[in-house]
Amino acid sequence: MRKKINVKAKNVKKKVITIIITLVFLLFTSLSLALMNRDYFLIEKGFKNLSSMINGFIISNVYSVNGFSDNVLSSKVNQLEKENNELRKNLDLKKTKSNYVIAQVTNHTLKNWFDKIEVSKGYDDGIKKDDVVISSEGLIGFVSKVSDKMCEVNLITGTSENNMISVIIETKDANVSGVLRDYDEETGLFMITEVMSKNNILKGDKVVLSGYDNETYKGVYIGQVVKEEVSNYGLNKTIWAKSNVNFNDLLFVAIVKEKK
Amino acid sequence: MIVTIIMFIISVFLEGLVPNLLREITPFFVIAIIIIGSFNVKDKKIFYITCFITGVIYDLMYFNMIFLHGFIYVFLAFLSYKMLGEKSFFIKSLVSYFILIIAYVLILLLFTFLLKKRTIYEIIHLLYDGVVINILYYSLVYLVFSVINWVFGNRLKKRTY
Repeated sequence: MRKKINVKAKNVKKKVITIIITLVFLLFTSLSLALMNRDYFLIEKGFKNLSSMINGFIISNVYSVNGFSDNVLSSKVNQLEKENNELRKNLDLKKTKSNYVIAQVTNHTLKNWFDKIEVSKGYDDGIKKDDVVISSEGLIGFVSKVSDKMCEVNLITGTSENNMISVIIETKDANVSGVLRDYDEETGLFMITEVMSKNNILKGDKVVLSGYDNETYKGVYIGQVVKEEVSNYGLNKTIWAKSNVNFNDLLFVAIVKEKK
Repeated sequence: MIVTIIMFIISVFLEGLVPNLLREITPFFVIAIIIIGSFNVKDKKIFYITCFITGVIYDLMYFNMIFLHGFIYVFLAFLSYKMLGEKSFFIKSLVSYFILIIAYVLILLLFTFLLKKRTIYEIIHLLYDGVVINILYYSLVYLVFSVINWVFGNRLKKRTY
């Protein structure tokens, strides 16, 4: 009788240990998959494309995209791009013609947890990884993963030391380089560091993308300077900038495609 | 059970659609079905399996952690059984709904803290954002299940007589 009880207890213990190990392994796998910089799995693509198509269809029937696309065309972003094209003409550089693809934001769930959104355009519409995503108010983020019918966008509110953005602050006297390093959720301000300049940076000065890795994105508007902090005995400056984009109210975005 | 599965499917789709139509709202519709399903579905094993599959599908559609929501939903179903048992009144189940929402948010925060630092302001924002719509949805689903139980309950009584 005692032997039977002992064997039963051992079996139960084995089962519990197996379940715990399986649970820990699967949870570890889940976390790793989220942390890895990976492409979509095949089954994941299928589900995400389906979800994107359904949500995109409903949104396009409820909201009109016409007003949004007009705003993007007349926005500061387009003005800056025109200036860039004129400069390129004068310097006899090869002119690159970019165009915009308007997309609906089809998944806001990731925004709360990972500062990402999913939009309804993908490979089929010529979208590539690292394409810039904008609205009429300024820069929203960069494309991080692409599927056939949808893509994932990393919002600039998720900027951290692992994915800093090179920017330029346009002052009266000269353009000043800096690095957009962080976003303060409470104040809604972006932190720009590595600003080593004696030039006066005034409140309201524009902050734009530097375009050092891609000339097409040079001058894309990010925000304006709100305040300046001096540190390290006056050697370094930390600039705080505010974006006009309401990241909690994204419905349509424009993805900048480069055409050569 | 079939009604519970249908409600799970509808809730998963609505959780993706509602934030696109009513922005700044965080819905927790699937958790509502977990609560209500736990005192309507007698077979616990099948209910846990259904919750797990729903969680995996939710992850594949809206998240990028393949199994996490599967386990979270099973854990929430287990908590729901412990809190409510087989019968429950509306107010008691509604309070349990909010407790499960807090548990869900805290579990996800635990997993995502590696990727992003969090503030209390963000956590409170997540919880109170969609309180009204979550209560409305919960009430509607509770009503639907109550009506279905009443209809099928009456039919069984008629058959036995």
